[in-house]
Amino acid sequence: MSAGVHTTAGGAAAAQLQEGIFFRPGEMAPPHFRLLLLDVRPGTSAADAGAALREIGDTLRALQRRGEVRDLQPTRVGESAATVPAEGFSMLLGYGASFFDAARHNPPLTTADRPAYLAPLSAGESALATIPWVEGANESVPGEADLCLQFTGVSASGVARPAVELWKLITDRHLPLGIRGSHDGFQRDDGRSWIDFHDGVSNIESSQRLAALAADPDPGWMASGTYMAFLRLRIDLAAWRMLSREAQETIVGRDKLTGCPLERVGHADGALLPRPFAGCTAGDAQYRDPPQTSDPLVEASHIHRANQNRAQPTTAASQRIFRQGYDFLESIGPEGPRLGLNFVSFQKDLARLQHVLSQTGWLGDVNFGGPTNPGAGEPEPVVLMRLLAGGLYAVPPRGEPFPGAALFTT
Amino acid sequence: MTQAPGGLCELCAEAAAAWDHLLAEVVAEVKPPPQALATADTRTQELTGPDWPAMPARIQSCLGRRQAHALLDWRTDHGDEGRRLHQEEYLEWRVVRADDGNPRRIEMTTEFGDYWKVLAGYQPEETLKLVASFAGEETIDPRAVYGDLDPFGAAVDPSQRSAAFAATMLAATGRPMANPYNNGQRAICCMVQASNTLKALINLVAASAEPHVVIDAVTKDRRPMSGSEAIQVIREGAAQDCRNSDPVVVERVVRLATEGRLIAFDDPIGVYIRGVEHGQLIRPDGSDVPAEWFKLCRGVGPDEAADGRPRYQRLTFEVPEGAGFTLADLKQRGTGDRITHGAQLAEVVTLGVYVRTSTAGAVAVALEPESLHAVMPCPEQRSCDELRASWEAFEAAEGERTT
Repeated sequence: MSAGVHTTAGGAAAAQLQEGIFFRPGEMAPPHFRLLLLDVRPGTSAADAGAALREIGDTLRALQRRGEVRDLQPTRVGESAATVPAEGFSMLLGYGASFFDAARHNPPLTTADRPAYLAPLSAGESALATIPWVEGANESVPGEADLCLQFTGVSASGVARPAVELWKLITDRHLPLGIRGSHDGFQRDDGRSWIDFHDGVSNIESSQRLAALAADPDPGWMASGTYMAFLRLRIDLAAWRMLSREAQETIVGRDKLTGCPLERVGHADGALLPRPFAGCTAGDAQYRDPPQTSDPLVEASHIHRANQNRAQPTTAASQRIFRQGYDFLESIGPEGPRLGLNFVSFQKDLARLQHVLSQTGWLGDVNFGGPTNPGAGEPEPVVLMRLLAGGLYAVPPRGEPFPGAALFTT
Repeated sequence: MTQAPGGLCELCAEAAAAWDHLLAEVVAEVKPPPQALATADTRTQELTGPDWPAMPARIQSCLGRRQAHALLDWRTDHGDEGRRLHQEEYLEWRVVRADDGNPRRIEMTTEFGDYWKVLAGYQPEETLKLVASFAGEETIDPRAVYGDLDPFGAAVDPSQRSAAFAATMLAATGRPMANPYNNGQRAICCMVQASNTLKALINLVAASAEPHVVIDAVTKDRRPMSGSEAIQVIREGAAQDCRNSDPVVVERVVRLATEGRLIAFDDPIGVYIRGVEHGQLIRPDGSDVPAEWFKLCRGVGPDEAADGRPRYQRLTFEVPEGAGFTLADLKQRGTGDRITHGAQLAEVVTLGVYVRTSTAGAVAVALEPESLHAVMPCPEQRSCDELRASWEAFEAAEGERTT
């Protein structure tokens, strides 16, 4: 007997995705991340904006391939250019909702259709159903802009340098662009998050990631592209550490030390007794994708809420998204650390992320995890995450001279 | 005795027995495999079940979102053609529009015609009251629901009433629906799309209740088949790929079967409105639409259910009078679009079924890996050609209406 497999898992669609999405078998996201947000100056023509992006593309490729930087070019007779380490970063270009906003850009930058779910994250009274803003945060360093450039690389300087080189270029060449802000982050070397639990354990199997990533041709210019979500989430570590280990495990859905998923949460003398699947050991590949459970407390945990249907990405209602997050530590002082997660996800459709974050029973009725109406002894709802900044971006397929170049002539 | 869908308590004893009998008949007809039990028993104590977005996925992947929205709301002189042809996720709706064409109210249902046939057969008075209430009318002429049959005639039996109701209120396969009390013109009572039936749902679950595993092409690990993969090998016609509902139900049930579990439908059987993402709709001032504007009924709520799970089957959404704006002034948060079509509400509605299962390993299962072959991506599958043809017919019909 034979079964079907979607041919989107083939190499053609994968080859079309921009660099900077580390979804292929054996690939690991490099440890450093920087997201640079760019606005096109209002009143700029589509042709001038396109030309500016072309210059940016040329500059970044020269840095990426040959290690060329603006201020190390020869200025004296007989000199050769000095270079910096090349191949140090990957780059990805995304288009935000405001890029398509004719009220903001007159003349418009494009006449191409805006993807339906590419809308301002900050529309309405709250960005996300259960994740409140850190007061005033989005205004100071926003997450939304006309364009974003994601740099990922093996060193902090490798992802900082292209951002600074861009500033030089924009300044020197009077490009009609403005840098709106920047966010950075890093991957931990222990596979855990700030709350000390394993993170990314049940991310999608590499063989199935493309099905979660590759956008449908609606609109047509997004065919074989993808969509990026960026949420800079501050984590209240002090509040988290007030919870018992048992409460934390019940909220997350895993054993804190081994990472094994819970099968049940029992009660004894008013205390919680989280029970991982019997036979699971630390790092057990068999339990990367948690087995089915029907314990309501386990179903209410974060790992189940984030993937309630436990279906594979080719299944439309799976709502699977590919996460490629980076932690951050902004500062640490007398008040304690200001830290969190740059939640970065790529998905074939932004509606998927919306469903995950707003459906009841998924993450639409809790801030992070746990029961909404806890019984005696069960963990009370806790606001663990607040939004510092966030934005949604369309990431068109590779293109020349830069991804999405055709938008400026459409 | 099995419960009525939604846990409704409106059936008289004879009607309840008839519903019980109908369920048993349908289950016998689909011939469930050994791991699927006809009814839940003490072995199947655990409750689970997938959920899915109510927005039809297949039509969207074939035509794109905007065309899909328009086609799904296609209304002709015979009522809601878009609904009859394409609202295939076990939820159907009608849009009540104002004179200017803007939506005023959206009504959705997951109720099976099979259930309504039982109700109409045994309880004509209650049936007429229910239809009248959905239509917003004081009373209703029995002929509107039973055709030429007098449902209160002394010699009329339940099977005659049931048949008359079906002939009058439910669509004959391939035919437009003439009856305004279920074609959307005056009301929507129960589902009519060809695949939104009790038998289709039972067959879908039963056909999936067998283990199917493959060796993953990349990781080389053994894993349960995905929904799309399993649909290729389970009973032909039991499920359709590229929908929201079928692949996710198939995948979940196959996975449960692969874990060596027994599977049974929960009682009451039904497709339920599990939730509405009310925060995804915003008022003109940017504030969230209140949850109270979504009226859920025809089933028990979480507070009334012993297991705390909602089992609603009907949703009515409208802006209360005096709000100072209309439904058409609301926007979707995620897209920024104004509400113009019923599908936009379907995009924020979550449906689900519940199944009961035993613990894993309750039965021994053979896990022989099956081979894989290529399947076209959804937008390239042949069924898209039919949807594109339907779009052309819609465009032509709309063109005629406006010229």
